[in-house]
Order: sequence, then C-alpha cells, then structure tokens
Amino acid sequence: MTTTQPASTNLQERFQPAGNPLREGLRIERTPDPCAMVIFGASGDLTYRKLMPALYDLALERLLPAGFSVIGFAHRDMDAESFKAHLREGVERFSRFRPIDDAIWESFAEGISYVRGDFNNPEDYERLSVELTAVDTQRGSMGNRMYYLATPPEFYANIVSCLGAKHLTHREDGAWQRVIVEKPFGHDLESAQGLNKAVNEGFDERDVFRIDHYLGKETVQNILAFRFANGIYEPIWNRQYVDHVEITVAESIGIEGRGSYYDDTGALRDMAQNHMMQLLSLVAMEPPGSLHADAVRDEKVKVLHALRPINPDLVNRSAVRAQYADGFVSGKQVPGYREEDRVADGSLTETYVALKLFVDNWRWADVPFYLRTGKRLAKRVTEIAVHFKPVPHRLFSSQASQNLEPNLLVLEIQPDEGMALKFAVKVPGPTMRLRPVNMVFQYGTAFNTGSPDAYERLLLDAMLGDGTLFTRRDEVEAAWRTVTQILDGWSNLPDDQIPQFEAGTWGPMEADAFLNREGRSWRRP
Amino acid sequence: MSASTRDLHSELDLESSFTVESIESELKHAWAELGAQAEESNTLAPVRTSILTLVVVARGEAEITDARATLDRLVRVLPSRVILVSVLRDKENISARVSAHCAFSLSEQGSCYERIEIETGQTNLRAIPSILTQLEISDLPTFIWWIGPVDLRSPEFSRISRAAQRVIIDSARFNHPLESMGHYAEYMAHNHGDLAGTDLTWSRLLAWRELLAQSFDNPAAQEMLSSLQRVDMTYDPGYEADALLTAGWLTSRLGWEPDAASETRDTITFSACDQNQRTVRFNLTEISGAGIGLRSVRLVSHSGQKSSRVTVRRLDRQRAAVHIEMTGMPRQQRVVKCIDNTDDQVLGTELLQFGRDQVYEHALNHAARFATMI
Repeated sequence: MTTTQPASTNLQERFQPAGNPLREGLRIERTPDPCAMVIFGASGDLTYRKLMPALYDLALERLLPAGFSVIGFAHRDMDAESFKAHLREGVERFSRFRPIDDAIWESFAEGISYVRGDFNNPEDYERLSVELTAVDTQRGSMGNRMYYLATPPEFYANIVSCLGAKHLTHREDGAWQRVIVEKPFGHDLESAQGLNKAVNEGFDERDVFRIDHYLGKETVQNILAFRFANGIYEPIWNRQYVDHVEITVAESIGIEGRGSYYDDTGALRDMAQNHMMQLLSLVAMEPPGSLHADAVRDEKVKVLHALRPINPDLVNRSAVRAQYADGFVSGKQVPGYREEDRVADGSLTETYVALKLFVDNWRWADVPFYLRTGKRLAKRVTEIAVHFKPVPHRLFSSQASQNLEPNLLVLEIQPDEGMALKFAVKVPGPTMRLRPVNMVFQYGTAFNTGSPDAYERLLLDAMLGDGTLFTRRDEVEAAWRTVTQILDGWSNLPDDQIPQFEAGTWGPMEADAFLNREGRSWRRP
Repeated sequence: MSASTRDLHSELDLESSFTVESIESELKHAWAELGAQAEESNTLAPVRTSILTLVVVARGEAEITDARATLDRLVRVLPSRVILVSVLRDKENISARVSAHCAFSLSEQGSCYERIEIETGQTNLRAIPSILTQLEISDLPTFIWWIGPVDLRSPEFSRISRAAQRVIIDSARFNHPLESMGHYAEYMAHNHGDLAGTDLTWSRLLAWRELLAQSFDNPAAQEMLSSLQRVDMTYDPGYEADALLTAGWLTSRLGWEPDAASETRDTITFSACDQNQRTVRFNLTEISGAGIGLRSVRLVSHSGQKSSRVTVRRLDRQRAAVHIEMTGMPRQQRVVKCIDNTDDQVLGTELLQFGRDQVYEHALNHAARFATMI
C-alpha cells in the first residue's frame, strides 16, 4: 500500500487537477482508489434493487477503479455463483442501462464473492478477513475497504464491534476503511446517540457515511446551485422579504407492504427527521465558505441547532399528526391505514405530519417554516415554496388588485424538476387590472438527459471520501433533538385518538386549521 | 423519449418575402400555433426554453440530409434555436423556412426547440453572417458546426465562424485530416482568446482519454508516467488523425516536446523529448480492420526495478479491454464500455461545453507539429 486519499476529500478537490496530468478536462477528477466493498445484508432487497444496479451502472460508465470488488456478507446459505446470479437478476431489472451487457457484467462479476455469516458471530468475521486478504492479493484493492451496513440498525453495533475485534476497521499502512450506514439512524435522540457512539468506536467520524438518499438527488443538489450560483436571490432570502416557507413531501402511495416497519416508525421519523430536515437546512443555511464537505455541513447543522425548541406540553402548537382513512387515489379505491397488512388494530401511528418550525437566527427570526409530509395524499410531489411578503404600499386600487397575491417562488423537486415564480401583471385592456401569472422553468425542457440514480452518486462519493452529501453525526443528532421534543409531546397527550383524513386528499382539516388561524393556507401543488 | 411521445410541429415558409424581421414574426406565429395545438390535444403548454444558438453549415444535399437527421435527434435532448444554413450550388437568392417543434411524453413537460432553415447559394454566403448576428439568441452562447469538409484557410470559413463563440469541425470528414489539423491549429492561434474551437474527432476519443487517464489515477501508477518509454498505437485505415490527436494529447499533457518523425508503409514513428531530454517513442501502426477507428494504445514504462504496461484495446464497437501490468501489483484486466457514439451524441457533449477547451487546443498543437514532421 503506498498512499490513499484523505476521507475529507471534497467536491471542489474532485474538480481541480490533482496528481494525474492526464485527468485535466475529463468528467471527474479521479476515479476512486482500488477498493473492496463489503455489503452486510447482501441478500436483501436494498442490495438487489439499489446497490448492485448502481454499482453496475458505475462500472458501465467507467467510474469504478480497476480491481473493484464486492463481498456479500449475509446469513442466507448460498455460494458465490448463486449470489452472482441473484445480483444479476436485480441488475437486469433495475439498472438504468438495460439490457445489460454480458461481457461487461462478466468482467464486473469476476470481483464478486460471498461470505455466509451471522452478523453477531465473531468467528464468521475471521472468514471475512481471509476473503478480504485474498481480494487484496488477487485484485489489488490495496487494503481499502468500504463496509455497507444494509441491515436493520440493531445489528450496527455488533457488526462494528466484530469488525474491530478482527482489526478490520483500522490499518496502519494508510489504507482507508469506511462505513456506510442506512436510515433509520435511530428511533429518537437517545438511540441515535447510542448508535453514533457504537459506530464511532470502530470508525472515525470522517470515515462514517450516513446515507440519506434524498441528498443524492440531482434536484436537491440543485438547491445549492440555485441559491449560491445566482446573485439575485440571496439579497431577498431573509426575514425582510420572506413571509414564510412551505416544504411539502407528499406521496400518493401507501405503506406498500411495509406495515410492520412503518407502524413502529411513522411519518415523523420516516420522513421529517431526515429528508425534510435536510431540505430545511439546505434552504435556510448561510452560504458556506467553500464546497468542502465540512464547510457545507457546518452551515447545515447551524440551521438545525437554531431550530426553536418545542415545548412538549404545547406540542399541538407546532405539530399536527393524522392518519389516512380509506378513500380514492387516482380513481382507485384504497384502504385506510388501519386496514393495511401488518398494522396494529387501533394503531395511533401518524401517516401524516405537519410542523411549524422557527429558525432562530439573524436571517430567519420569526419566519415560520411549515413542513408537511404524508402518505396517500392527493399526489406525489416534493417542493419548497418560498412565500414573499406583500408589497409595502398598495399602489393600485382595491378593484384593480383584488386578485393580487404576494410573490411566490417554488422549487420543484419531484416529479417535475424546476422552478416557478409567481408575479403580477396588468391584464390587457383600457383599465388597470392586475392578475398573477406564473413564469415556469423546468429542467426537462432544458436538459432532457438522464440523471444518475441517487445511489450511484452517493456510492461514488463515499468511495472518493467525499462526505458532502452524507449526514454528519451532529446533523443527525440535532435533527433528532427537535423530532424527539415532538415525540415526547405526543406521548404525553392524554387522548388515544388521531385525526383521520380521506385518502387522496391533501390531509386533515386540523392541518388546514393549523395554518388558517395564522391567516395562511397550504399550497395546492 | 418513450413510445407515448407526442410531437407538435408548426412550419412556415418564407420563400418570397424574406427578411430577418419576417423570420422572427413567423417564429412567433409558429409558437402560437404550437400553443393552440397543445390546447386542442389537451397537452401541457409548450415551454420555450433555450440554452444556446446552434448554427449548422451544410453544403449539398447529402450534408443537408445528414444535418437534419442529426439535429432531429439532438434537439430532443438539447432545446436550442437551430439555424441550418444550407448551401446549394444553383440557389440564387436566400430563402428561409421556420418551424417550431415540441415533443411531449404523456407524463412530462415536452422538450421544445425552434429551427430556422436558410437556403443560399455560394455567391450569397457573404451575407449570411449579418443574418446570423440578428438571429442568435441574446446572452446565450452561439455555436457553429461545419458538418462537412471546409477550407479552414478560406475567408468564408473565417467570416461565418466569427458569428459564433465556439466553432466545431469534424476532421474525420475531411479529405486530408492531418493537413487540416495544421490549418485548424493555425486558425485557432490566429483567433487566440476570441474564439473557442473543437473537433468531433476529439470528442469521439473521450472514452480513450478517460480509460488511459484512469489507469494512472492510482498514485503508484502515476509514478510510472514519468518513466514512459514507448507508446504503441494501432488504428484502422483512414483513422490516422485519431491516433495523431491521441499522441498530441499525451505529449501535451505530459509536457513533452515533439522531436522527430518518420513514416514507413504502414507505421508512423514519432519521438518526443521529456523535460530531461529523455526520448519517448511513438509507433502508430495502421492495421487492416473493421473501420472502427483507433484500435489499441499501449503505454510501456521502465524505471529501475519497476515496469508497467497499460493496454487499452478495442474489442468491438461497444467495448474495450483494459490490461494493467505493474511491478508489485496483481495483473488487472477488465472489459469496459467504449461505444461508437453517434454524431448527435458527440455534438451534444460538445454543446454542453461553453468555454475554450485548452486541453484540446494543446493536443491539437502537438498533433499539428507532429503532422508537419512527417
């Protein structure tokens, strides 16, 4: 082993010439160091649907290093060949590039092996260690390892501990050892802190990559470009001009057979703690000094630290929860949440949550951020709507401007990626009448090219040691701090009822009233 | 685009009363017509988004047909104002045809573009730059693509190209590609700083450059770049420009100076000197093949006890094999994608680059210097 890239390597460095003079002017600054990826829980759905298709796509795009290897580690009894056959099936179904290229798959699959093991059995890690040494020798992975924990969180601590016991988490020769962990990262603040402690016992924080696949989406990254590559928005991006901000992550699907997981989790933990807090911090953050991973994450975490604490005794002033009842989505009848498979009778788990949060800092003081997310809502949409304040003086007569509304900027994230600005114009004619119009930009009309899957981007970044699009320990804990205040408040509520709303609508009346009493209303995206 | 794509199209001819104002006016009508069609068919209203102006110069029916086919594919992914200048031998006046197009899929906003086709004879070519200047979209870059061979030293090339910020040629279509490299390098040097230029042959070599560069990302391999001794390339007949441009890229990136050249029946041999006056040999050998282009590149290094050999070899039109042998490392070999991209794909890649490509300019300069030594 000669040398390695530091884990803090970041986006900016990737796009500047490094040591290889042949790299200048090419798509990426370098390919990752030769390495082996060990996937714990390799026989599961995530590996089948997401990880292997993403890795194959990266291989096809020539973005993986020579000698890249994958070692599957799981309890299921199978050999390397049946493991490869299983993975190939997943790639055939879920790769962006189908049909798959036999020759390239065969070449890629030469680096795939399988170790049958129990996550809690230290002896099985000895066999993993032997396999890793063999991979180093035969494929030149130089001792660089990426461990992917595609397992339920309850195994994280044991896996890290067993890896540590076999000296698989640190090396003295400069080779890097990194770990990628999937959400849910904790159940509340205390459990998140426990998990972080356990993972950090094996790995330095700079080598821990917590995936929130939302951050791998092109349009989420575009929030940074929109805010900080354009000079015209930043001067008005503050409490002087912004009345309130609405963040919506709405899904029209239900829980899709994940009843037992979802009933223990709920919308607040499943969506708000991670995805929505990430969107909030990207919208509200100060400009970072650079695109270094820690510079960006420092600014994001400041937003989360600045969130006004929620008094659990007054939780209803900050949060509304609800559950979908039966109804119609896209013309089809769908069951209510409590009728879904593997959901407890009389479950009180929220499938919808609306929050009112304040970022108590100089820029955003007293500007409410309204967040809502839910399943079985009217349609699938993710967007950030920035509502601007009305003009300070009403110049036009009330008749002329009766339909006039304040300016609105909407950053659309999915399904249509783009932005829309609402502003007032004069209606043609002899009298002065005003009406709002929308100016719309959609990425699909300007760049009608395919984007990489979020996992492609994130896996590549983790191999490059770039943590910008991953959540840091303090971010996770800061988000849990706010979410746990809400959970504590809900647990103290005396009643055992949860508001119901008809599936296929925009949520419960309680959520409408939540905004109406402040003279505002939810957008209909 | 999926099978559910729906095309909207509005076209107007301006054969008799051609002015730039009439083109603009007819374009507005075309867009209004598109809006009406969208309303009738209950499709989303067309959104007029442009990211650039692309001028294409095509001479004769074959090039014009080729240009239209390429643009039909390209503009679906890259909405632009496209101005196709068709040069027809017998055409006496200048005429124009204006059209606007939108392709919608059922679930998504469509991609829309507008096309202005200007037909002219050779004698009226002098007037074309004045029309282009008025028709280009303000504040967005203008590209000009010379689809076929053109005299790169002619005043006509110079005049029309000045209407753009970026000039694109395709030396693979030239009758004497090596000679044209020299002329293009001269042209770029003459317009230094004002105009960016590129060559689709260069774009087609992107996969080669990436694969060769990737082989030296590993710091251990990077050390071997400074002790390269020999570069061997093979290519199909007619593709010596590809090999020469690749050699120019390697020498310019590594800071070597072209030194000497000789040619036998099927091999061109160059030598270049590195900063320590060490000589590196390049052997470019034509082999009989399937007309794929560049077929293999091998870089051989020796330094004391260490040696390395990196070989990229084209297997077919879809794939290449990469072999890396290096002292102290296991032998690595793999098969990777290396596709013959279509013209619209390579052109699309070039159109996303707005500024000068200095890596190309340096590679071209070195290739041109080699070419003059043969």
